[in-house]
Formats: sequence, structure tokens, C-alpha cells
Amino acid sequence: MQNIPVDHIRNFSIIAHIDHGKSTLADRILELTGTIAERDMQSQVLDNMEIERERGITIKSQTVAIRYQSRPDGPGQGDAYLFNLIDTPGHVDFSYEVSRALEACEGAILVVDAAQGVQAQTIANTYLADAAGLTIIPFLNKVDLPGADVARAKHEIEEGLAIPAADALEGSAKTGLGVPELLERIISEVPAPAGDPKAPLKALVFDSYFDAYRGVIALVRVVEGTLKSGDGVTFMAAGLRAQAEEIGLRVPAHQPCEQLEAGEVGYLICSIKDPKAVQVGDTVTQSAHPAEAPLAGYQAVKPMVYTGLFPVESDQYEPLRSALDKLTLNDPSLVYTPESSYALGFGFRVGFLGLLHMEVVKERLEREYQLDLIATAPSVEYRVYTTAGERLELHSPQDLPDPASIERIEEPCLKLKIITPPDYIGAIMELCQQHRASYENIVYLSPTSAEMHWRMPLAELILNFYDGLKSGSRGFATMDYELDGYQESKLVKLDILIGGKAVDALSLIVPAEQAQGKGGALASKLKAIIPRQLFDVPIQAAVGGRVLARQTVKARRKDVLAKCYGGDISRKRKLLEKQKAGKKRMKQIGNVELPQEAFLAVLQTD
Amino acid sequence: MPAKTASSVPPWQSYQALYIHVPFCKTRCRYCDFASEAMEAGGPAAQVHMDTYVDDLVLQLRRAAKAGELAQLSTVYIGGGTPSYLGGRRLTELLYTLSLTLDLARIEELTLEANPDSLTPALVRDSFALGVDRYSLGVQSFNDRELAALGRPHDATQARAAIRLIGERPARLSIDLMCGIPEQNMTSWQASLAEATAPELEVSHISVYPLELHPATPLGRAAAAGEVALPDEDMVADMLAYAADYLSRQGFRHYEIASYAKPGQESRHNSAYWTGRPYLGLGRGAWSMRQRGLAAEVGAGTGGRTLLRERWCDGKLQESVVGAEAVAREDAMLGLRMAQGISVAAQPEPIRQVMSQQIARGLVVEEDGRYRLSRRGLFMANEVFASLL
Repeated sequence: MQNIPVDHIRNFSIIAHIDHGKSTLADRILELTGTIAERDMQSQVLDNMEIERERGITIKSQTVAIRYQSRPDGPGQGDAYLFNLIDTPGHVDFSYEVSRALEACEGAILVVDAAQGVQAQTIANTYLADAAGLTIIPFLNKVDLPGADVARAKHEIEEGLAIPAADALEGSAKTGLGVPELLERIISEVPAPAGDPKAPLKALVFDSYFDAYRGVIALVRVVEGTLKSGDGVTFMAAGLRAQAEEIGLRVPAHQPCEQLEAGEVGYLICSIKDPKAVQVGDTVTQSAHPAEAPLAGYQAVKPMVYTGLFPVESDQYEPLRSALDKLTLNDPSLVYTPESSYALGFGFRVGFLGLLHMEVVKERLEREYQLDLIATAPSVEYRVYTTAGERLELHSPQDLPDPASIERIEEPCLKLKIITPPDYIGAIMELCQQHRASYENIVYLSPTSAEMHWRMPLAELILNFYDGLKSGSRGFATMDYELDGYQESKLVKLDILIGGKAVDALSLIVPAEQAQGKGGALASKLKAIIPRQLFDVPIQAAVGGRVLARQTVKARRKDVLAKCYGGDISRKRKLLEKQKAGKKRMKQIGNVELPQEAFLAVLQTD
Repeated sequence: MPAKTASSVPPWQSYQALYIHVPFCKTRCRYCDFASEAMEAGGPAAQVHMDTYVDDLVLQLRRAAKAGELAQLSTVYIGGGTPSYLGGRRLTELLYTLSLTLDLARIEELTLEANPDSLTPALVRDSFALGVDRYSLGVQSFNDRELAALGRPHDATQARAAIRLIGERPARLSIDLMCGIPEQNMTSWQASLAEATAPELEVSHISVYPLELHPATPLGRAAAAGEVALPDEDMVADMLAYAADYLSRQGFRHYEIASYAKPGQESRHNSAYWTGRPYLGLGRGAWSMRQRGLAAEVGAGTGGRTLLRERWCDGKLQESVVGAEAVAREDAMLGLRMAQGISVAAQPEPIRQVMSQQIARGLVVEEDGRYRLSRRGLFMANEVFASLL
């Protein structure tokens, strides 16, 4: 494929709302171009992690070079083309990664489900593609399904996205309908990459992954200049110098080559063993003739959500550490530091890009590493200004200093965009207000679809907001958000005392005016979760020593296996063993046995 | 057959109790999760099936007798299922074989389990004549609504008639009563207890136990679906406490967690289970227990015994060997079920430590050189037992 000239290269992504068919379309393209034989297709090749496939989302992007023999009667006049299909992560948690991947392209295929129309992430991704200056080719998917409403979807694309959709392609990624035409349109509509191969090298790192033998493998788009095998290179943001040991194309297997010119996309291996050294968005240049300035847009990865992860069995601490180490290799955005809890023992404070990222990581730790974990309530990063004039950045309620020494607290905020059928606007208004969101405006995309804009503290998003949005709109509303600075809020630490002892892992930072309500709800919820024990167990919710709510789990009065005769002894013994095993899984707080669900209660209380 | 052993290994002790299992019932009660077959719907095939089963029991009894396994028995218990559902002919066959294969004169107690609906005058007459001297009747309640909710195949009138029928002979009678059942309240529970202890009925033994809900039973499913209202856990605790107080006022001794008896009327057969005496189980899925080793006080946690539990299940022998240390724990667990408790002196150090913790929690008391469950411990016995595992 190396002999295909740059003007026959097309670099593009597929963008879509979740479940609108992005991965299925990618599969079909790979199949129709013969990149992957049909028999090798494990449905959705690009989603190659088990959890990704299960959830129908792509977390790590996979990029593939495709050779496409164009039609003699089409715009490509029968020539061979090189398509670089640059896959993007499919979730709002990874919008920065998406933006970098889009920077590596000239075009984007916008997949819109013809039944569902434009959704929040359709818009968010379109904005990102617009910002990257991409040519957007709309593809109306699932037109063969009974609920498809092509006219409405086209209307929403024109109204909501300002993209002409009159002659948008209509097809089905599943059956392949419309996909051959799409391939021809990529040639005619997506511009060939520009860039001067003789200029100083600037290559954008838009993804990276880790190989146990070869170290970090960076996926790069050469924007200017030429990347040559054997060259000394510098990762400009990281200030890291290395040697380009191997470069090549992903077809999708590695196919080494001598050089990648401006406009080309490929992989770069430099024997870098620290996965955090290579960051998405960094610029690679030639050490001998460096570019004057890196490409714009680089941001250091910063977690948005933090949670404590603790092994249920204390001897699982080291296995947890080693599992996190391994996950970090392919997910440098994951950050963690040791944390210890009076209630839960030793664990880690782990930072994530978002809630989905958190869930996926936790699930991978449990499934792939067979760890039994307790996660504490997620938290955001707070800025605490002390009366002594210091500014602390903290993301665990445990780290909050004494209230007397706090001057003020700031919390991160979001710009929130919600797309919903107008019927649910009232319910969503109420939900947003409950979550301390301030209303900005509303735009009607079509008679059946409205786009609302809000500003909301991030902390509200991570406590059940999404579930509330889905249930309040019968699943119709979709949302998208981006960080939007910090705001001062009156926040307090809500402590939960069980049997008179504060359980650190149950503490929460909450708005002062919600402390009473949340404290009461949490105490009631815990009362329902904590099993009755030999003695009364008081549950208190308190702020700074002042008790706001109290519940009592009354002592258990009956726990006896009725009859026990000869034949029953083994059976009774098994029952007792089961009961004992259940108790062993509980956390001992003083005399009180606390089930793991207690630590989840804080996640589910509004 | 016990294997031949080297002379240094003490021999297996003789069986002291015999359990004969009859896994048939007329219908299945809504709460039951035992492996018992409901036969009513089975038609003629079910009759043949029961014939074959009893023939096989007869064969097993004769083999066991020839092997000398029945020589030292002191109690026999025919349980189920519902043994009375076998009917007079099959029961006669079984009891007649028993009378030929073991020395009934040596047997201190021969119990037949029965349900009120299948206990006929002829069945009582014949079974008594063939050696049964104790009947255990599944009454459960004297309230028809409660019986219907449990799916019992009889009503309270049939229960009263059955009790009177047994009362015509000089046989001992035990009845079962259940609390925590649907439709039940404290008043109806008190009424059932009052009726069970009416002097003219001459009930000398009562088993009192709370309903256990099993998720895979019709009642368990109905409860999970919220279709039946059950007395809550505290109400059940109150019912158990009321029974303990009431029955002791009526002259019953609470000699085991779930068992009350007039003086001298304790079940000797069941006491064998709780005091670690070897027993032979015949019939489908019935467990046998053999043991060897020296025991100054059998069942009191004296070291050195090993125990073997075995049963035939679907043509396969299941065995579990319990080592000396586990035997001591199990002895303590079973022994603590009884009011007499366990000897402090006989307990190895680890068990004494566990007992100290349970004393501190108020569940066990130490008196006169014995550990016993406290009153609270009787109702929270699982806490104590689990600590001994």
C-alpha cells in the first residue's frame, strides 16, 4: 500500500451517537474492501474488548489502513486508494481523545439512526468534527427498520447540525445497503491530505497502546514533514527523546515501512516502556530538525471522577495494585494513589475520565483479574481555600480539613446539553433543578426534538443524574457535557456514624442545604441494608458533629434452625457455612457487620 | 460392612438407632423442600412404586440383620415423607419384617411418623400390635386457614380425631406445631398451643419450630412475590418465647431447641442424634453415621473419635469422614441444642475459647461445669453454631 500516492489517501472517522451503528458500519467497510475476510469477522472487529462488545461501545480506538479498489465508472476511476479508518472512542468520557483522533482526519462519516434521529452525542461529535475542519458525510442508518423516519432524521440533521442532508446516503450498516456508494463518496468528498513532506516533522499522536514486548505503540498522523524509520525523534509535550525503531501501517496487522509522509497515518514504536510517557495529543518531531512549535490542542489528561477501590479481602491489595498497573499500560488516563480507610482497609483512590470509564475499569478489574471490589461514592476534585490562604485540591471527603479552617470551597462545573422530545421538558427541568443546575436556553431542532442547555456542578452528574434523565424521559433524552470551570458552593462533609463510629468510606461532600435531606435518606437506606445483629445498631448522619438524622437497626431476636435430626446434620451444616461465608464478606466496623451494599447506598441516594 | 481394621485402630461402634425413610406423601405441602414424592396423582404406577420400595426396605433390613448391624439398636424411627401414607398393608409388611429382624424387647422406642389424614383406626391397631409405641403426628396447627395456607392435606378436625385415635392405646404421642405461618397471629398461635396441651388429648411431646421459607417452594415464591403475608421475624420470636413460657407452665420441659416433653417423654431416638450415637439409615437418601474411638462421654466433645457419614443416593455411595477436631465441634453444636448442654471439662481449648466469646455475647451460660445456651441463645442459636464451624 506504500506505493499509493498521497493524493489517493483518505483519512476519515466514523462518528455517531451510541448504538447508531458506528462499529457495524466499520465492520461492513472492512468486509466489503476485503481487509478482513468474512470468516475472520468476529462481529465488530473494532470493538475487541469483551466489555466493549457487550456494551456496544468502543473505549480504545483501533485504526486500520484499508486498500480500496475504486469503481472504474466512479470518481476514483478504478484506481487503488488507501483509506485510513480512524476509530474514535464512543463515549462522552473520552471527548478529548475523540477530538485528537478527529484531528488526524480530513473527513467524517456521520452515522445517524433513521429511527432515533439526531441525539446528544451526534451533535457533540459533529461539533468536534466541525472544530477539526472535517468534511462530514451523513449516512442514515437502519433505514430498513420499521421505525425508520428518514424525512424526520434528515430534517434534524439540517436543523440541528446545519449539514445539508437532501442527498444524504440511506442504508443499513447491518446488511451493507448503501455502503458501496459510501466508499465512492469518501473518494469524491473527503479531501486528500495536504502537508509538505519536506517541512520539519510534526506528527500527531492520536492514540497509543502498550505491547508487552515492544513497549508503547503510538498511532500517529504525519501532519508535516516525513517520519523515517531509524530517526531520532522527540515527543514535544513530554520532552521525551527516542529513536523511531519501527514505523508502519496497521492493515490491521503491523506492516513495517521505511517512512510516513505528510498526510499518512501509521504506527510508531520507540521502545518506550513507560505508558504514561506518551500522551494522546502530543507532537512527534525529528530531533535533528525539530519543528518550531508543536501542533495545537494538546491537553494533559486530567481525571474528572475519583473513587476509592478497596479489595473485599485484605490479601487482595497487592493483586489489585498489579491489576491496576497492567490496566494502566493500555489506559494511561487511569491514575491511582494508595488510600487507606478505617472501614475498608488498604485500597486505592482512582481517577477516571468519567463515569463510564469508572464502571468499565471496575468491571475489568473484577472480571479479568477476578477481584472482589468495594467502590466508594465517586467524588470530583474540589478546590478548598483555607483561612491560612492555601489552596488545596482534593478529591476524597476524608481529606477535607476542619470546617473552621475552610474559607471557601469551589467545585467543577459542566456545560450540559440535553436533547429530548418536548414532552419530557417539564420532567427534565425538575430533575435539573434538583441537581442544582442553572438553566441557560432551549432550542427546538424539530417539532419532536428540543435541545436544552444547562450549567451544572459535575458532582451532581455523578450521583444518579443519568439514571434520572433516562427514567424521567422514558429513555428518550440523551445528553452530552463538557467541563466549564469551577464555581464556589457552600459544601459540607456529611459523615455517617454506625454504632457510634464514623465510617470514613461512607462520608460525602454535599451542598449544605442538602445535608439534612441526603443524611436522612442515607440513614434510611442503610437501615434497610444493614442486617439485624445481636444488638441495636444506631445509624447517624452528621455534619461537623451535629446529628441530622438517626435510624436504628433493632437487635435480631430469632436466628435458629428449627429441627435438626440425623439426616439433616450435613444439610444444616451447609446452611450455617453459607451464613458464615456471608458474614465473612461483610466489613466489620467495631462490633457491627456491614454488608458491601452499604457502601453502594451512597451512590443510590438522591 | 465395616472394613477390617488393624488392631491399633478401635473398631466401629455398633449402631444404636435405626432410621427408616419413607419418601412418599399424598401431596406436596406448599412449604416443603424435602425430596419426597407426591403420590396422589400417580395412579396405579404409584402403588407399584411404593410396593417395590417397601419390598426393597424389607430386603435391606434382612441384610442388615444378617450382618449383625441391628443387634445393639435401642430405638427405631420410621419417618418421611409420610410413612402412614404407605397404608396398612405395606406398613404391616415393614413392621413385621422389623419384628423378625431385631429383638423388639430390647427396643426402647419405636416411632411411626403419621399425618392426620392417613391415620386410620386399622392402621393404628395393626401398627401398635406390631410394636410401634410412639407416634409422631404432623399436626402443625389447629387452625384450618393456616393449614390450608400451608397446603397441608388435612384439617384440624382430622388432627383431633387422629390424636384421639392414638389416645385409645397406651402409646406415646408427639405432635408438631409450626409458627410463623401465613394467616397466623399471636391469638391463633396461643389457641393451637392450648389445644395441643388440653389434658384429655394426652399429648406428651411437642415439637415447636418456625416455618422455614425456601425460595424454590410454592410458598417461598409466593412470599417473594409479596402474595402472602407472613408474621414478621419479631412476631415469630414472640411466638417462640410464648411457647417456651406457656409449655413450661403446662409441665413440659424444653429439653432441646425445638422439643418439649413431659418428664420422661423425651424422644430417645432424636437424642441419639444430638449426643453423637451411631445410627443406621435405610431407605432412599437416608444418612448413616458410624464412628470409632474412645469416648469417656460420648457426644461431649471428648477427643479421639472419628466419624463417618454415608448414604446411598441414586445408586452412588456418598461418604464424608469427619476428623477428630471437627467431631468435637459438631458434638458441641449438637450437644448445645439440648438443655443439658455440654461438659466444660470435655471440651478442647479452642471450643472453650469460642464458648467464652459466646458467654460474653450473652448467648451461652456456664453452670455446674456445663455450657448451655442462654434463653436468648436458644432463639439465636445459629450465631453460636456458626461460631463453632
